[in-house]
Amino acid sequence: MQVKVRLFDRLRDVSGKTALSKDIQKDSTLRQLIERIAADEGTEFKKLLLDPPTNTPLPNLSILVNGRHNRFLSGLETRLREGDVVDLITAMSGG
Amino acid sequence: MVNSYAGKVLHVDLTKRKGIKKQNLDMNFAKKYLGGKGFGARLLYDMVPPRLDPFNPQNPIIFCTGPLTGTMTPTNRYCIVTKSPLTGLFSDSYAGGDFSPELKFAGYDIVVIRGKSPRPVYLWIDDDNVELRSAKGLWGLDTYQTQERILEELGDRSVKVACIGPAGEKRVRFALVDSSPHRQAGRCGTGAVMGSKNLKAVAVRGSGKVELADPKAFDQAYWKSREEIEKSNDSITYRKGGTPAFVGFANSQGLYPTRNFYDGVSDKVASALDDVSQRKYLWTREYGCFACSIHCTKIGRIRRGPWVGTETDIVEYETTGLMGSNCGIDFLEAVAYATVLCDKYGLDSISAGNLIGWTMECYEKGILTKKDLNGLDAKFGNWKAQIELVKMIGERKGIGRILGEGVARASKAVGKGSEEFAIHIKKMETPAWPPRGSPGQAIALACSDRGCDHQRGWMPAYEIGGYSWPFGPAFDRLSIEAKKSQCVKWEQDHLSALYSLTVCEFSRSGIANDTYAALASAATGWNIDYNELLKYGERTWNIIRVFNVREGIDRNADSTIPKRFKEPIPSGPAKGHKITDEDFNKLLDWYYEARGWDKDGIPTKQKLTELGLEDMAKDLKR
Repeated sequence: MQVKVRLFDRLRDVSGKTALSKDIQKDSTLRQLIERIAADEGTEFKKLLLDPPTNTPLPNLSILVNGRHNRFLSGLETRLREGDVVDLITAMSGG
Repeated sequence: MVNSYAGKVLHVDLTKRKGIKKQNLDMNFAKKYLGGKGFGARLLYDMVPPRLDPFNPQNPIIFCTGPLTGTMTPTNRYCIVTKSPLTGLFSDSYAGGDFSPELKFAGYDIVVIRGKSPRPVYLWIDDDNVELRSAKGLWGLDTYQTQERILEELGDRSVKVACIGPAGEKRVRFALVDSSPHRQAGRCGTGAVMGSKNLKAVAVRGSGKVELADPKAFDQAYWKSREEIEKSNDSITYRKGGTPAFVGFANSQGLYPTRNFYDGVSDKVASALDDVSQRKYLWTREYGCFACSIHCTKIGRIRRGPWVGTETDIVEYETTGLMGSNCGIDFLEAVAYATVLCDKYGLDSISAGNLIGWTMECYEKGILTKKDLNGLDAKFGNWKAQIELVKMIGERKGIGRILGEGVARASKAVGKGSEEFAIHIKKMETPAWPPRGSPGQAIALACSDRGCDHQRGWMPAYEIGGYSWPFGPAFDRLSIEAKKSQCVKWEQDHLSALYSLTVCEFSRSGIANDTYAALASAATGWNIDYNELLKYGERTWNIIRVFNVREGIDRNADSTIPKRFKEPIPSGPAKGHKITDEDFNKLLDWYYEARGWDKDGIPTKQKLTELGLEDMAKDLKR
C-alpha cells in the first residue's frame, strides 16, 4: 500500500525532497516506516531521524500521522493505512 | 551596587521649550518591574488616564531597554510602549538590530517622550547631550531616506536611528517604527503616535558600556546560552531559513491563512514563498542583530521581474502569509517588493496584508468596486493591485484613507456585511497563525494583551508538534482541556518575562529557562530563579490587564472571535474543525481560573495583592 511522507526543515534540506511516496506492506507500523526511510535516505538523513545507540526516533522529531501526533495514536506501533500522510518535522516555531 | 542598568531615565516633553530632563532610575522600581515590557507597563499605567485618545499629546511614547540589553546575551531588542491608536489598549512593540544597545551605551534605560512639538523634530541623544533638532527637511521622506539623511546630517554613520515613514506622519493606525538597520517595531501603530507628536525620529550615539554585577557568573551563563542555541534544531532552522522556514509546516497543517483566512492551505503560494525559494531567488547574505548568534535575518536583492536590483529584507513568515497566501499571491518578487514598500512607508505588513485580503474579498463580493478602488481590479492574486493598495494606504489616498484606519474601522465604514469577514480581535488584525486546527491558539489570540497576536502565546508547538511545557506534556491536537488554558497562561507569563529582559522570543528556541534566569541574576546581582522570572512576567501581565480593563476590556471583549473561525475550515488535516462558542467558553473559563481572575476576566484583589499591586486593586474598585 502507498503512504505519503512529507519532509520539513532540515530533513527536507538534507534529502533535497519535500515528500516521499512509500510502498509498504499492509498493516506496517510507523516504526517500520521510519526504519525503512532511515535506511533508504542515506547517513546524514538517518542522523536527523534516529538516535544511534537505540535506533529509535530522536526525541525532538515530531512524527504526525494525518496531522495528529503519534503519541496520541499508538505511538510507533500505530498501524498505517493506505493513503496515510506522515509528517516528519525536526523544528517548529512561530515567526 | 554595580549592575547592568544604565541608571538613567530620559524625559522629553515636546511641547515645552526646555522639556528635556534626566533622572536616576529608581532601583526599587527596577527590582519590581525588571525592564522592557515591565517598565513600560507600569509607566504607561501611571501616566495615561482612562479613555485618553491615543493621539492626545498626553499619551507618552516610551522606549525601554532591559537588564540584558547591551550585554553579550544572544538577542537584544528594545520595546516601544504607548497606548495604541489601533486598539485603544496597551501596546508594546519590539525591534532588534542595534538601536537598543546604543541607547544603553548612551546611558539610558528608558526614554519617555510626551507632548507634541509645534513643528517636525527629531530627538538627538549623544551620550549626555540631548537636543531636539528640526526635521523639516525630513518630513515626507520614507524610512530608508530618513535614516540616510540623519546619518549624513550628523556626519557619523555609526549613529543609530529609529524613525517613521509617511504612514506614521499621516497617522495610519498600524504605522510602524523602523530602526537601524531597518528592523521594525511593527505592530499596534506606534509609528502613528510618533507622527501625532511631530516626532520623525530618535537618533542615538553612545560611548559608554554596560557593567555586570557578577561578570564571572555571567560569562558562564552566556557560554551556556550559546551552546544551547547551537544544539537547538529550531535555532539552526532559523539560522538557515529564517522564519519562512516554517511556511511548509504551517501550510501542511492547514494553518496558513489563505484568501482572507477562508482556508488554511495554499500549496502553490507556500512553495513560491518559502525559505527554499527565497534562498534561491532573493537572499544574498545573512544578518544578525546585536550579539545574536542565531542570525535569522537575511538581506536580499530582487533578481527577476520588474523590480530587478531592489534591495530587500527577508520576507518573514508572517508577511508571506498575509501579503502572500492571504491575498492569493504566489509571485515572490512582487511580495518582496510590496514588503519593501511597507517598510519604506512604515507600515506593519501583517495588518496591511490582512486589510488587502479583506479588500480583495470585498471586491470579489461586489461590496467594493473598481470605482471605489481607483480603477483597480482587486481580485485575489492580483499583485499589481496589492502594490497600488500599499501605496494608497501609505499615502492615505483614495481607499487608503479608509484602509489606514485598520480593518475593524474600515469594515464599519464600508458596511454591507463586510464586518463579518473583517478578521481581527479587539481591532487588531489577525496574524498568520489562525486558530482552526489549534483550538488553544484561539485563547492565545483572544487573550493577548495587545489585541490579536501570536507573539503572546504560540500553541501549535504543544497542540500539533508534541512539545512538552514546564508544567505538563503535549496535548492531543483538537482536545478541549483545562491544561491548554494553563499552558496559554504560562506562555504569556514566560514571554512577558523575556520581553521585560528585552530578549527576542526566537532565542527561546534554544536558551533554557534556567539559563535566562542565570543571565538575569548575573547581570543584575539579584537572585532570580526561573519561578521568580515567571513572577515578573505574571506581574506585568496583570498590570496590563488592569490597564485594559480600565479601557473597557472584559469577558465580552475577549470573546469576539471572528465569525470565520466559527465556520468549518475547508482543507488540511483538521478539515471541518471550527472554534465553537461552547469550546471557546470552556477554555476561557479555565484561562481566567488559571489567571486568578473572576468570571468576567477582571483580576481579583487577592491576585493583585499577591503580585504587590495593591494600589491597582483600589483603582479597579473605583
